Amino acid sequence: MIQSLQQKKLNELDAIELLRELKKADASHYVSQERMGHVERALELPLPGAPDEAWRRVPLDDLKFDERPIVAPLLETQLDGKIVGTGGGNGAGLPAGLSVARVPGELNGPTYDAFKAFRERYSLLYEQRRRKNKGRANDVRENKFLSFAEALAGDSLFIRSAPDTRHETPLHLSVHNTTAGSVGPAVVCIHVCENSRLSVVVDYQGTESDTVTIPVIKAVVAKGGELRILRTEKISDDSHLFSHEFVLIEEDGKLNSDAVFFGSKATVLEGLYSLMGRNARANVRGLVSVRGKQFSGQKLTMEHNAEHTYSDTVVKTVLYDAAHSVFAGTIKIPAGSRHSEGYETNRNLLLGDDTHADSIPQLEIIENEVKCSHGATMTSTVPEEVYYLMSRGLPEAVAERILVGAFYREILDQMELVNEDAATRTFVATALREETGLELDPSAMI
Amino acid sequence: MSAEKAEVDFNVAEINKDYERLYGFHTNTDYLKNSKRGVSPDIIREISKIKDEPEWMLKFRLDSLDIFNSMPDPTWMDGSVFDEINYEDLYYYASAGDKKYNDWEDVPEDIKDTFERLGVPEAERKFLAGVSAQFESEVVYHHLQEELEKKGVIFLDFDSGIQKHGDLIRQYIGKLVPQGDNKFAALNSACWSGGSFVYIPPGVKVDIPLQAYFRINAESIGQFERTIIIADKGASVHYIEGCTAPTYSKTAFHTGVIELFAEEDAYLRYTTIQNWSTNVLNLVTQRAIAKKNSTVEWMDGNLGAKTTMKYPAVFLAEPGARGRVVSIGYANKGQRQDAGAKMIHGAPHTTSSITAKSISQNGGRSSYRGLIKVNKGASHVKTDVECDALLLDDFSESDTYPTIDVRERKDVSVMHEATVGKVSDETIYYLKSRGIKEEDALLMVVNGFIQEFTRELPMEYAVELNRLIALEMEGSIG
Repeated sequence: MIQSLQQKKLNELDAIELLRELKKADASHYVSQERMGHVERALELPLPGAPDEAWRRVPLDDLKFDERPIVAPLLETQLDGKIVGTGGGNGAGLPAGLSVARVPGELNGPTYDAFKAFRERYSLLYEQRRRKNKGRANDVRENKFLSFAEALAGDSLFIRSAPDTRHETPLHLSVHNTTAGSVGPAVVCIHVCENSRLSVVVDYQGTESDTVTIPVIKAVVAKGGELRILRTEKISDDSHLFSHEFVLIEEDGKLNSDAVFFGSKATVLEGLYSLMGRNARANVRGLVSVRGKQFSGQKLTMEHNAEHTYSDTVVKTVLYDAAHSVFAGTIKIPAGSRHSEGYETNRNLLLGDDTHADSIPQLEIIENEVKCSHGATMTSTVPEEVYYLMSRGLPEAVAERILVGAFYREILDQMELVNEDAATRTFVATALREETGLELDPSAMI
Repeated sequence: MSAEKAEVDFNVAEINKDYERLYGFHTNTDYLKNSKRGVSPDIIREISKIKDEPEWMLKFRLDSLDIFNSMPDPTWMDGSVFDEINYEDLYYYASAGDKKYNDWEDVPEDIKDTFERLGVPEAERKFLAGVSAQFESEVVYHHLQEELEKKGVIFLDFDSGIQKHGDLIRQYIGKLVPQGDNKFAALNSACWSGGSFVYIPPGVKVDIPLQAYFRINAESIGQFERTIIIADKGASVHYIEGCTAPTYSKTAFHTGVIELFAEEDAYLRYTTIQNWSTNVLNLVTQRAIAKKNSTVEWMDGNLGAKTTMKYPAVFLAEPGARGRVVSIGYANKGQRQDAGAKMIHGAPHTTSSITAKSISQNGGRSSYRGLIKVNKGASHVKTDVECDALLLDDFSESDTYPTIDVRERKDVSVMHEATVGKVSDETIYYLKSRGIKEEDALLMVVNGFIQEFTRELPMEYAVELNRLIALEMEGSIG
């Protein structure tokens, strides 16, 4: 956050003042044309809504976005439970090949060059994908929250895994807006260099009431690289989280993106995953559990911008009480992306009497040499299945619990980071236990 | 140049010489001379006066015009679709003759000529129950079999309906598609002309499909047909509407409103095969209500038109209601088939199913746009959606935009599945290895793909449809 803007409100700012302040902050040579380009959009765009099919369903009526003081959320990185990478510049407590730096504060020498390389690569790939994609009527890419975060996020974080290095132990990043009543934008850039493997757990957390957090993750997975990322969200019931992520995957690159979200007054995950090179692969797994009057929405777009690409998206949602969820998933296969396969599944388990679930799975295909499908279901626990378990002597409540647990387990079992890393598994299982009362950690069950 | 070659060239030139006369479908359009373009309260008053309508109808039209003028274009489609509509340049009413013809012998020659090419006389000779043929904007030929009349079945063009059963229509018009539902429904409500009014009395089962042929014939003529079909308690009816239109250079504009009412225990099926010429904009609002234990089925085939936007809907209002939509879309060069279906479950114990098949070829674009909504309180609901798309080449497009909105959990099961792909090389290879030509093999696969639709059609329609598909696919190999 630019110091002079701290605690200001959006309705107190005008474009000229903002640009002047950003220019002043440019003294560190963190020249950001993009950032300035977002200023006007952040001020002028209305709150997201129609004609965007996902955002128009998000409850934003009493958000009072313009009247909230702007703050910088706390960004903290940990490895094996120890705080790393902050304060001491890159390298503090980190293994060789993995670097974490504050932008622009800690950009110096090689870190500056690395960040510059990342930005150039990201812009190039983003422009390539933009040219490949035809705009559609309800294909809304401009978003006030996104522009706001891009323009006003202060110290962003740059995480990089050097070529040919493998980082199996996940780097734990927590994003925490600590000021009640505020809005906190944050940007995280991730560069997975050639043939390297990076594991990251991003945790959106906070018990403070009435916060708005707007994190943006921008990532490039270079040739042969692999990014394994898990996002978990658990914030107070009257807070908002509007997270955006863009992952550009190059030739032979791989993305394993998992998410475990619990909902809030409004939690939205908007993701754009673009397969930019031959044999690029993306597996997206989402588990959403919402209760009370919580809202959780996912707007996920999978773009197959090269031949022989593969994607599989599975999102499972459990709705209790009067919760509301929206899943909007799109697979795009433009002309020329032959031999691509894209699959998308959305399963909803309705357990509350006043739940409301929306599912909008979309396909936009302009290539015939492809395999593409989507499926969506919305059901409650199936009476026949409950009856079967009861006929084996289980009380009804226990039978229901087993079936609901099985619904969760099926998707958890597919999440690579949750299965391979014991600490992550415990972390997720604890959160799920607190939220649902179900014991889902296989190691704890034995 | 050799004499032989010159002769061949001459013959080639000769082939197309009579094309306009033989296949151009032009007929004399003198009657347009007195018609005005554009829409205004004055024109609306004039239309209403010519038709000698009751006061309430004129008010309905004028109110609708106000709504139309204040409504923006839909935002969920690319604006380019609507940009090409010049409302000021369209004829909103054209009358082909002053008189309605009950007997084929009395129909003027040039109109007969048009029907000849459409195959109406053949169909008439066969087993049509009644033909309501729409020429330009008015029904000029109307025939209803005597036994149907005896049963109390009303099958009229909409204008006669207003004259003879105005009070009945007044109860139903705009109930399912209110004037302000969308811009095009508002325009239709303001300047509708033609269409059918069908009423089937309680317990009456009409065994033979009721058929109506629609046709637009003059440049820039707007067709605004309005159809209401009521199947009273325990009644059963199948209504078929087919369209065809000649090719003109300027964009023709077609926006209809169709409202179906299925009362308790009724069965109502509405079949459309539209094959407008590829300059027509076809924007139709089709909606049905299904009461207790009744069934409504939309069979929807979209082959022609430049742009089609059509989403037949069923509101399942009472327990036991069933809704079903089977549709196919065929998007060829320059065409956009934006079709789909909507099912609104407003009561418990209701079921619905949607099967949508689309084929895109030569750069055509077909989309499925649908909605499944389960309201609070609508428990014990079963619904399934299946939409499959076939891309016959690598530059055609297919989109799927379904929306599922569920607000009830008790024994609710919603399934949606969609696939997109091409005809697999293995399938073609298998058929070729059995001695079938590649072209025929592809046609077999495509016909198989849309079989779920064709098997629902009366035989002569199914045959015609298969022939049409074969014609569309000509030259699609190599």
